[in-house]
Amino acid sequence: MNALTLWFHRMGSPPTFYAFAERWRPWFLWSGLLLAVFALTWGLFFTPADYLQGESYRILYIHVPSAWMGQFVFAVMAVSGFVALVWRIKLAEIVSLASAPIGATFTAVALATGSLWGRPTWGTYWVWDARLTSTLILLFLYFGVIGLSRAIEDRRKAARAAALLAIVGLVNIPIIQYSVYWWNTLHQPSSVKLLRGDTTIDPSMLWPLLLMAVATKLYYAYSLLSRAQVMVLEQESGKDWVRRLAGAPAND
Amino acid sequence: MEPATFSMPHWPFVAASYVIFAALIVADLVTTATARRRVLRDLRGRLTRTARREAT
Repeated sequence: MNALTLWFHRMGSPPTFYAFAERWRPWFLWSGLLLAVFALTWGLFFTPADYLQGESYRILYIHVPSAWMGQFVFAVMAVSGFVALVWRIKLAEIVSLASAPIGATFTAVALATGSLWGRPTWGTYWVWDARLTSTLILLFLYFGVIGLSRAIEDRRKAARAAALLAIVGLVNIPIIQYSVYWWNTLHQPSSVKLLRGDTTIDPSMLWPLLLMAVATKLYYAYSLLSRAQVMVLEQESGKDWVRRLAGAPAND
Repeated sequence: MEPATFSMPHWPFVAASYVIFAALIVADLVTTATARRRVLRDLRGRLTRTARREAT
């Protein structure tokens, strides 16, 4: 068994995961927040205005990383949901469920800021464009996963039902990505294509955007670990290690 | 010709976006920080009640 597989097996144990989260949570939080403050200050005050959009383009430093995160978190949710369904790993269920509110928040931010950008740029807050509509569907899918997980009393059954919805909903991610190519949309195609090397955004504007993308991922790691810790504590409340953590003597 | 809306002030829209983002991050931070404290407090309360019941 290689080191990575061994690490994943270890993380499957709730006390080990809890200790890992306790150790790394503050690092993810502070590095994410500091990087976000740095990137947003750079984007707001130290990059030039866009030649066509003027100052309104600065919304992209919030909008684009949030939109990326909305899709990324959904993919994490679906993959961990798949692992939970196939291998019945409790922690994968927790990761899947804990991701949903975070992903929903990022998607809501992407929709709200996109709307605020649309008003001065397109002249409207909203159009039923394929990219916007598929992103709205993503938000509804998140609501579905959250609602389903809370509607079923048995936690493990709830997690499995939510995982199934996340896996089915994954089909929406390529639709969001390619909507701007498949349909004639008002939303412009991607300006950042790092893998293909034909990014059309100026480097002076690109760097704060990329740093902000890293900052949102670090914040997601913090929020995921925090929420997962709460779920682990609730699920394992009868176990000795949780009793010890709460300050009570163990049963043995 | 550029759309008329291009000439409207952009900063209110930029400011509103950053405020929405900051507000949701703060809300998330508060939610996650209080949830863990609440769970541990409830757990301690339950354990104390059980210990009292067992003692009597």
